[in-house]
Amino acid sequence: MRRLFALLAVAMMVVGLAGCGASQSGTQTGGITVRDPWVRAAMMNMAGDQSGAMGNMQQSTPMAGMGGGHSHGSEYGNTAVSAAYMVLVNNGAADAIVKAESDVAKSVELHNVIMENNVMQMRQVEAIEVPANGQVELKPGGLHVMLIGLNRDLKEGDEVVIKLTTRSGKTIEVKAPVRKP
Amino acid sequence: MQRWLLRFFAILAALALSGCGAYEFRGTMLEPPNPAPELPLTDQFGNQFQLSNYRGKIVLLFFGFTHCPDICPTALGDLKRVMEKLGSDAAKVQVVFVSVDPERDTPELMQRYLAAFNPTFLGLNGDRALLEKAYKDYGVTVIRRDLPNSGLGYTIDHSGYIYAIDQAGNWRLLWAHGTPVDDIVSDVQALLRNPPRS
Ligand SMILES: [Cu+2]
Ligand SMILES: [Cu+2]
Repeated sequence: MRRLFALLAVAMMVVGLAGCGASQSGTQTGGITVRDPWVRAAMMNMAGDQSGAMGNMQQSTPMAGMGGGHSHGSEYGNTAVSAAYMVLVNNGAADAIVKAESDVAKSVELHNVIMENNVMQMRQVEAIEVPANGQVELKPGGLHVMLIGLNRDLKEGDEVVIKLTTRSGKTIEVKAPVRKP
Repeated sequence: MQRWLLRFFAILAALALSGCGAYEFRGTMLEPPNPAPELPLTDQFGNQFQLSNYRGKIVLLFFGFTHCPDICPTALGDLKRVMEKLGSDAAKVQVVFVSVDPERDTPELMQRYLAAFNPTFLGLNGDRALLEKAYKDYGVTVIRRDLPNSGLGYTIDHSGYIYAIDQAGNWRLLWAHGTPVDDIVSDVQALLRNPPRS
């Protein structure tokens, strides 16, 4: 059994190295695989827009590490956002996505939406759990990878690269096509 | 000729669906229909908006914000498809988006955001007190929540209903979030077929 698993892992690594996965929309490593990723089309702001209700527009928010974005008072006027969706398939032991990164946005976060009495509540989450031999769907109205502060327009047909980190320490590179809102 | 046939079938289908000709709405009807509260707000082009200017049209109303990645774009995407499916009848329908995040929903942002769906969509913003009144009048939940560790800073919890105001300015219907586009189209067509008197 162990041997089989090891063999499987090796086979997967070979596939990964061979670059077969790279041309597909989702690339796989180890337990969690990504299927059907996509990003919602969105337009970023006009650069240098000064008409925001909040005067102070500091574009240069020094972000040392991603995901650790801290509060900066009231400088949240006028940032364009979008979200990435996908299916996380897990062929191994229970794992989770604990971090997401992408160069298209200033911060990339893991979010969930809860609908209660038809009131939608969006919240940041620490991790997206993926059960052993199970799957989790990131979809509108639920879990998503939130892209905050886009630094370019995301137009239909574009591709967004998102790097996911699992709790087990693996990274998954996802190439997500942009789709219409 | 084909159009005539199509229309004939449409009427037949409508009759078949409705039994005695009384259409059953898929959305929730507001009984009795009351005059829809006025929305004395400003659209994304800086023009003063007035609901009373839209008598003779059906107004589809939605409350949301541009930084919402999820419910709002889904609802607006649905409304975009509703307009497409209505075809030439779309000219008798106005989609109106009211901001629940007046600070961030600047006219420029609203312009770009709404244009991505349909350039005829109007996005309203305005004086805080007038907005608060609109939320209350339409029973819309709007709660600002701080997200201390998020690059967003804060988010707005909000209701996801779409409302229909008929040609006489009466608040007639509401659809819960996720109502199929075809159901909305069907209800709008029913309102167009039987315009209210007065
Ligand atoms: Cu989000
Ligand atoms: Cu929303």
